[in-house]
Amino acid sequence: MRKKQALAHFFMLLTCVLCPLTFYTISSYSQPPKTTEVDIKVLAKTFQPRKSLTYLRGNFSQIKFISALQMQIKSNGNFEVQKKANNEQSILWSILLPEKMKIKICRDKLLIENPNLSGSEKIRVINIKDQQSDMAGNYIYLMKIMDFDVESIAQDFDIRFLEKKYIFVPKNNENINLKEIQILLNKEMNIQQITLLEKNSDYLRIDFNQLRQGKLAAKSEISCSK
Amino acid sequence: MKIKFCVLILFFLLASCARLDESMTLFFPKQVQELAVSQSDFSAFWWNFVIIENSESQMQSANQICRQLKGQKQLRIVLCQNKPEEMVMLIQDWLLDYPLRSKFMNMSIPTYLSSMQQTMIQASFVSEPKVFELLRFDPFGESWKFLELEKKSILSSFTKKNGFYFDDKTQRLLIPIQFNQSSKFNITDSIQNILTKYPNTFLLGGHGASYRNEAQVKKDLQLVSIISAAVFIFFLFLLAIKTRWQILLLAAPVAVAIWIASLIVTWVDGSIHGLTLSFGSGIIGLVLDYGLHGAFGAHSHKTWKSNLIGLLTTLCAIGILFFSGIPLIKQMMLFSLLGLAIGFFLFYIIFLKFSDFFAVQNLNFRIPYINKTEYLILFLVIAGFFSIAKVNLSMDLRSLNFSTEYEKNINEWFYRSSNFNETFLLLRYKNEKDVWNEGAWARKNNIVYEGVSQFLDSPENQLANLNSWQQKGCQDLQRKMNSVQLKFFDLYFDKVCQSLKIKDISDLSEYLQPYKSSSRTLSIFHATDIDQANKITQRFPEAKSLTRSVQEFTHIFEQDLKWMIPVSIILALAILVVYYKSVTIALITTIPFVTGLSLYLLVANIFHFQIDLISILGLVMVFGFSIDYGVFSADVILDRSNVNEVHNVFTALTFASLTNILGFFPMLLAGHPVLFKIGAALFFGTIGTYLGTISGVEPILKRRNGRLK
Repeated sequence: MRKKQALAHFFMLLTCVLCPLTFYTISSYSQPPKTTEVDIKVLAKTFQPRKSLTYLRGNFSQIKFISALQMQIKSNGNFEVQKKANNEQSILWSILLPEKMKIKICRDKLLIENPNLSGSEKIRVINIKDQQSDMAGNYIYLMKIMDFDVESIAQDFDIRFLEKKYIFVPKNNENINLKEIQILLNKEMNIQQITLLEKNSDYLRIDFNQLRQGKLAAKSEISCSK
Repeated sequence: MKIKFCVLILFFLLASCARLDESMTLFFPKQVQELAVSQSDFSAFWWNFVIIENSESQMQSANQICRQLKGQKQLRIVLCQNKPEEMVMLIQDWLLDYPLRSKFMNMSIPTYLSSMQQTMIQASFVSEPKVFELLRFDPFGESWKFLELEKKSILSSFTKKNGFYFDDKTQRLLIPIQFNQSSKFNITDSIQNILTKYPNTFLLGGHGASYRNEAQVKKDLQLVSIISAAVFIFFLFLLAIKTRWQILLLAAPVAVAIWIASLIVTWVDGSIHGLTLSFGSGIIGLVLDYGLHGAFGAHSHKTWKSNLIGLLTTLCAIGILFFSGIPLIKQMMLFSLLGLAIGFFLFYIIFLKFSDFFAVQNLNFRIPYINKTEYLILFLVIAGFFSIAKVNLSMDLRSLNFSTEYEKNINEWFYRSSNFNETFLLLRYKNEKDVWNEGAWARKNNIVYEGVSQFLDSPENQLANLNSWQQKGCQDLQRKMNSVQLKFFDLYFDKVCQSLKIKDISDLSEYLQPYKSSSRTLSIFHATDIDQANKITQRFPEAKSLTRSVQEFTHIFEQDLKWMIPVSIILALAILVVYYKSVTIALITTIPFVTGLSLYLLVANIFHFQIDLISILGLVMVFGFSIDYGVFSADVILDRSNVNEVHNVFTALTFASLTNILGFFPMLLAGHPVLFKIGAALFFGTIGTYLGTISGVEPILKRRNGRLK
């Protein structure tokens, strides 16, 4: 009888100790990992060497997921970021698959060159700063991110850090149709992956590899002064 | 004349049964009338431009104005910081109509597929749902082409800055806005209310100009009515003291005459123009002078004979102007003719029965005759004669427009920046097939063109193109498309391949709306030089140039006046010669008109007034009453009436002149050129007429009478 009582007390004691422990463990698992607020000035300073690069090139592969259609638009190719002496930046986005196409992202416009088309149809010009700006969509953010333009990004987004990723959350939810932008950096502090998450659960993910300094071998007819 | 103002109020109440027309249609001769109608019928003309000065420092204001304008229901399009959903409505029809514009070519399948891929790549970077949806309807990359086509040719010289049109030279910023209906005060008022909160802003364009004109007229009329009310009370007081209260009842027959005349004009023309009512009523108001003359000369057997001659001479001037090629003048004169005749008849009947009731006797209220003032009259006539040579005569319609120096400058700056030498408008009925050839012809000749065929080909070609897609092309293309492309563009191809139909002019596509009205189409050709202008007139002889139309209006009016003025003067003189059986006396009775005209010309010369259409209407009114004054005064003197009768007639003329002078004086303070010009003609014309009567007709005839004795 005593033995039984001692056993009961032991289990009660065990329950009293284990329950809070279990509860703590479960609750700590269910909580999202804590994000860290990022000091913009420190971040800008960190990326300062990157900003001073004249040329940066590499390969990319991108996936656009459209939730309503449950489909993906995939492409890959290489790119070149060029910065002129006046600090004006341009990006040449050379798509190789599924079809060859070049996109030039300039300060004030976007040029899409399709080598399979001819005449005036060969190059589409979209002016970023006028009524066609929404047609340019997220190229504007891509441009800022590739430039490591932290101050400019910080005007529109709150920047946080989470598990190797920088998370950009729009300050004004009405004007930007993005839920957040995630940027993953590699050890050399180069961009490894950019993910743009949209409010309607669509996303665009771009993976970069073989990043290096220097010009692209392939030349394009399109230029920002066109 | 203050009674005339009272009459005006009464007539507005009575004429409420008349259908009022406020359009510009009647302004123009038949040949150019269609152009005037087009301004209110086609939304292509409903564009206005908000100008913001010193835009560098006004950027915040510009953003606020842009936001507020976009919230206005009266505006169809506001071109500033545009969100794609604002453009989707316009573009979607255009995208779906691609198979109507372009034939399916089997050999082009790789190009089609490549274009689709290009659109999908573009869509990859788009997060705005409306734009994304739009791209799903744009497999062939047509949306950007539409934006290029839709760009207003007049804006080509402006650059884009932060979503606004910008002029680097003047630092002016531009927001093009399109109203959803033609110009109306209330419609523009809400937009103007937004702009008044921001200094250095201005609404340029048809709606803005009409609004400012109407607002100025309202402001002026407010001033005129306050002063007029004061004058009217003074006049009533004077009448009550000097005469009998019954005389106020003379206003009633005038009001009835105006009412009946307005009903007849409405019956004849279908409606009556607002300007006919306002200016025509002023002319009909002259009939009151016969009533006053009747009351003051109630016991003279010659009163109604003089009145009849006065009426006939007035009708001469008005009757001749009735033959004008300008419908508005024609209607105004018909209205005045009817009103004067009816008013005269009513007065005649009333005085036949109740002359004692209205009779005013033994009254001497006039400026006394000053010795040798005939020389003043002579000087006035000579000065007036020499002023004719220097007079600034212009029939340019723009001079009737109220605009400040700033507005003139900004208009010049804006329209000069377009580099268009001449703009031609071509109106066609919807079943006219040639409309479809315009676009191709304009492109071939490098002429800037806006119209239906800028966007669409003829129905026959559309059908051929569509058949090439629906019969085989769609299947061939869809077979070559990969699964991702098929899924992405499924809605587009469902519509295009199955339910798309050819379009004609009556189609309701949003992008064709600016160039269509209920029954017609509008085409606009902009010529940059004379060669292009000649090409347009040769190819489309029925196309009308805006500049030439205004010149044509001016030319027709000038041609009218060249024969109307001498003919009406000769006719009036002939009546007077027949009546007096003497050329000399007939000429003497025209002295008040000559002095009235001379004083006006002299003042116009000194103060550099421009004499135009409105001034001439005012002078017609002066002609109407000044001959009456000459006849009334001549008759009473030639009849050797007793002193009291002479005093009575001159008192009646003094009352009539005084009310004219006091009544029209406030119009000299008006800011609007139309009110000012008619006011100046009547004010100085009346002073001159009165001087000519008391210092010209009276002493000359008295001296002549004395000599006859």
